[in-house]
Amino acid sequence: MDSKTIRDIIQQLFQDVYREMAESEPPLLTDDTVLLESGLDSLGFAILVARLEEETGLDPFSQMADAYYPSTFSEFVSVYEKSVASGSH
Amino acid sequence: MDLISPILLLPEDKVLVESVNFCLTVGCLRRAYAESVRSERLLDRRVGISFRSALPAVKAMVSLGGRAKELLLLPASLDKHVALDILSTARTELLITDQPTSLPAIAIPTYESIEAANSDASLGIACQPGAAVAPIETDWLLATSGTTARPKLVKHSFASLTRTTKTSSTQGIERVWGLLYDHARFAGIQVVLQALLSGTKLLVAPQHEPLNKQIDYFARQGCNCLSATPSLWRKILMCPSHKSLPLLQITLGGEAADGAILSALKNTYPTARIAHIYASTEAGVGFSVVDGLPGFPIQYLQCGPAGIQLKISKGRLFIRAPQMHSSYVNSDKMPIDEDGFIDTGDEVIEQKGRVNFLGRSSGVINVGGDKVHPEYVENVLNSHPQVALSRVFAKANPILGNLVCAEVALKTTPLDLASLKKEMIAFCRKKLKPYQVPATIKFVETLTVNETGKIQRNS
Repeated sequence: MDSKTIRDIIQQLFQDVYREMAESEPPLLTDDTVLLESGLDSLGFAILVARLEEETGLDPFSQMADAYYPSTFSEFVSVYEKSVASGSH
Repeated sequence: MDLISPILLLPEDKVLVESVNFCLTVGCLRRAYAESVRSERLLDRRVGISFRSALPAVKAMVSLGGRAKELLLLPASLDKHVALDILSTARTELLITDQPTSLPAIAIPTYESIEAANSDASLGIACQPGAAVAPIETDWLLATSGTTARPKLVKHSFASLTRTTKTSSTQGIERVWGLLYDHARFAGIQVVLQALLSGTKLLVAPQHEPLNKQIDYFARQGCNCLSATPSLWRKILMCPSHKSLPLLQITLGGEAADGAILSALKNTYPTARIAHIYASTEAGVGFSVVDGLPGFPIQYLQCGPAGIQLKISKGRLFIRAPQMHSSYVNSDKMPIDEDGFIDTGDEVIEQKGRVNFLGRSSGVINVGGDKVHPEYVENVLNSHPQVALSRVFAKANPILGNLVCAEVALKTTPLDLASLKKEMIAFCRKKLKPYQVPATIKFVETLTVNETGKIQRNS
């Protein structure tokens, strides 16, 4: 994970899941993109979370002491960034 | 108790039910009831209602509860053949619907269809409080969810439907209920009755719109009481406008609520009362748990709440409720043991003073409310030319509760496993519904087969 940031991995897997489910080109994600308006539905995000765990071993939602559900892409990424930061210290 | 009596005590112009474009006042409901009182064709007959929109459905429920002998709530979303099958099982004599052409009258000899358009045929004679004729005891017929099998019909009395409904409106802030469920399903009717019997306003979500927009509408209208499945609550918390819901009452039902969703709701709405309901269409509402923890206190096994009795047998939860019928309307027996307890099919475990839910004894995987049979997905995987054996299982997921995942033993090992995995998921996608497709596939050397030749499911 040194060369790729967690944000890059999320972007890449988002695109993979999107192509797989929608069979079209994925939209560009910005920090303010509302997850459920990104074109991927809640099933898509559930799959994304499972694939991220498969790829990185990170499962931050299950490990959070205070459960939290992100609304926007930046909130989603920051959950994983915090998980990476806490794991590396 | 019937539905109209508490409504007759409210001010004539009070809005009781509201959607984006329409509303129902107490006066509307009174007039609809008065009209039904004069209509001999409704009295003591087996009447069905099937409405796409919740507003005319509520009007029909108010008019017919206490007038018809039986009131069948037929979900408008049902497949036509299933709907006709239910009408025939219920021996419905009169169907009131806002989609008359979709159900051919010819299929049922005694069937007569009334087109209930939006006409609010006011006859100019208001039904005065106290003027209501003595209501009769109406049996309410509800279809089980039937997501994995043909829906079955269950008969309820008004008393058994409203056993845990709180009628006392609380003081202070006025309550506003939001309806996200289908009004003709057990969970939806619970919300409708809760609102009507306590005289609080019911907001009907614009169901053709995405959830985001539905939650926007509720937030704008000040919805402060909301009932949804844990899966739906997870989605609600992903909608930006959830932060503007001034929630006082949060109800979860339909699936087991896990600790994560309960604590997320507690963090987001610290002042709300959070209850998770254990209910089934067969037993009616079982009980609610309000201590914010998943499962239920072990003490309920000794002394069940609200007059119900609970026991654990063979690792499954059994329930006995007052006013419970013992058979479906087509006379198929419910899974009831010799002591009169229904087998709920929910596997449970006693842990640290709690009884926690493990899943369905049938092995069915609940993916955000959609049910998946693992064997069905395994059959599809096994039909792939490279697959020797597969095992499909549930994996806990923070967004949908569970996801379908698979382990696959291959006939030969190819050079490019990553491409094969993609190709196999695409293969499944062609043959399965999106929620049935394995989210992840793991290639394994072997899969354990037990002594009966079946795949070992409990890893």
